[in-house]
Amino acid sequence: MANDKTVLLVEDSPSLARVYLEYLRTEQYRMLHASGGEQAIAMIREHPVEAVLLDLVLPDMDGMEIMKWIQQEARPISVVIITAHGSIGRAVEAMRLGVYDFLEKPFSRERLIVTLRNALDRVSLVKIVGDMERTDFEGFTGASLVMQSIYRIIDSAAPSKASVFITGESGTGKEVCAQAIHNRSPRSAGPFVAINCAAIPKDLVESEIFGHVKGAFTGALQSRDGAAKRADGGTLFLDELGEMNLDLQAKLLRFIQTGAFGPVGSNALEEVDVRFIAATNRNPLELVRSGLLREDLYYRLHVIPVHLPPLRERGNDVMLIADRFLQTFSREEGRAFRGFNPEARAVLLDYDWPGNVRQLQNVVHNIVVLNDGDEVIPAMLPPPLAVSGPAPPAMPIDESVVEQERPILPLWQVEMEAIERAIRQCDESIPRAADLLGVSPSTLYRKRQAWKDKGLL
Amino acid sequence: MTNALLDDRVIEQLVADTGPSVLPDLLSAFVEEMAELAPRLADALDHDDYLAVARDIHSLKSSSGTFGALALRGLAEGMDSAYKQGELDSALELGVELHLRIRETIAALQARYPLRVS
Repeated sequence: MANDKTVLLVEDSPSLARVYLEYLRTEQYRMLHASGGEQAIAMIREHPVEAVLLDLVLPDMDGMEIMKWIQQEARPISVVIITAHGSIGRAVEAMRLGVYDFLEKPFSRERLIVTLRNALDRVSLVKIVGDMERTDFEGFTGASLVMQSIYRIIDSAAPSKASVFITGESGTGKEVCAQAIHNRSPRSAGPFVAINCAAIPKDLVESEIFGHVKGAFTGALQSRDGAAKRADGGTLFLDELGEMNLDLQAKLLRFIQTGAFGPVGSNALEEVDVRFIAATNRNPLELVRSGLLREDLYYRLHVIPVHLPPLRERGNDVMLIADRFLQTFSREEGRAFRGFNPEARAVLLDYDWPGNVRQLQNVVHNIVVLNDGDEVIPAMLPPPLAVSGPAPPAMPIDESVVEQERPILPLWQVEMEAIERAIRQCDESIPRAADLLGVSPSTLYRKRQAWKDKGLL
Repeated sequence: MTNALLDDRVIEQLVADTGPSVLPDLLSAFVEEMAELAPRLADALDHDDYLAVARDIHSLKSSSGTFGALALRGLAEGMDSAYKQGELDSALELGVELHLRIRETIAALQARYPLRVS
């Protein structure tokens, strides 16, 4: 049976390397061999190495330097030192640095196989334990398996400068994800600049991103740096990329390709060092097909894709997050809530959460503001949950009356009415209405535009 | 059988651990490595390049042990220890002998074991 573990042998003697590789042939690991330190580090960077068999005396560097580098990088790798007879002192010193075990040459095939198996088992255990411990990760709350894989992708993507393309429904945490990648990157000391292309009037997006010079357009009384300049040395996060017009997408593509851009109204180019993260709540390939996103820009940005799962696919994360919000809002609002009762928990877990974490946040905030008590009960839940929840009604309802009183409308119409009502109640403020509806403002802009295009609004 | 140059039990164990068909390849790799090491070591000794000598001796100590090259291993360990204790004259004397033993070990391996036909 093929083995999916990758093992790196660092040994400068070709004859010994041959012997050790033969010893391990039956184990069917993915074996890599480096005959020097620089080559070893390059291989660890390029391959998912889980164990290293490390000779300490190498032609270009001391093997201990490789061990220190692995420690500094905090890579989940078990290192087994293979040391010459009489070098035990150094092996013990290496154990203090976190080396898993050592083998004194010459050693038997059996000893090598057992030691390596144990070393690989330890890596698996460390990974499992490490994953289970991660219920909080750079602004995310969630212990579900699907979120553990997101944390791992963020960890792997962060050190590189490669562009990241985040997809996910509204409210799944795309900006939190972008910020997490920035925080864990070597650019974390630099700025993180986020631009929501849907929240800025289309005419101003270019100036927001690239800045403008004095007099570039009516009202440009002063020169102003854009997000591109402000993100120099850091990360530029472009949310709702599909909302950007195609001409501007072409300018963005040139900027990504060259690292240089011209502010609005200027012919001079400015160079910056920026990492790009883009996001959309729609399928980016659909955006390309429908002509809203340039294909070349899509491929330029879509180097590392991250798809954030909707809350309904995150199992018990709903309760982890709800409990966390309940604590926070209770503290802020001076309430005594300590948790949700089992019935209320069942309702929260049963609900679909179309607005994801943002909707959950609003629901819990609503509960805390309008109620008080030791624990949250189903009666405290606001409408979408109160209706769908399993809590029995206090009085029997004559269903025929309900049917007569509520004619069935097409879903889009119900949605449109709910959105328009919310906007009216918020004095025409789309961001406030979006906040209360548990969706992002861009979702409302997009839906309203679509209805307007069809003559429905 | 064990003689002063080779420990056959080590080579038999190598066969048991890797299979008889692989042995010619492994022994040939060892012979080639020693054939390269001998002139490099002589050169390093001539130029008092102690770092290079120490590195080669360290490597030889390990490979000779793995391939049952008993005499070589003894000499390499002696040189390694002499270097570590700063006894350069003694290390140099052993270095001259080492050169001879490398040639003898290669000859013994070629005479008694099948090597890869290159």
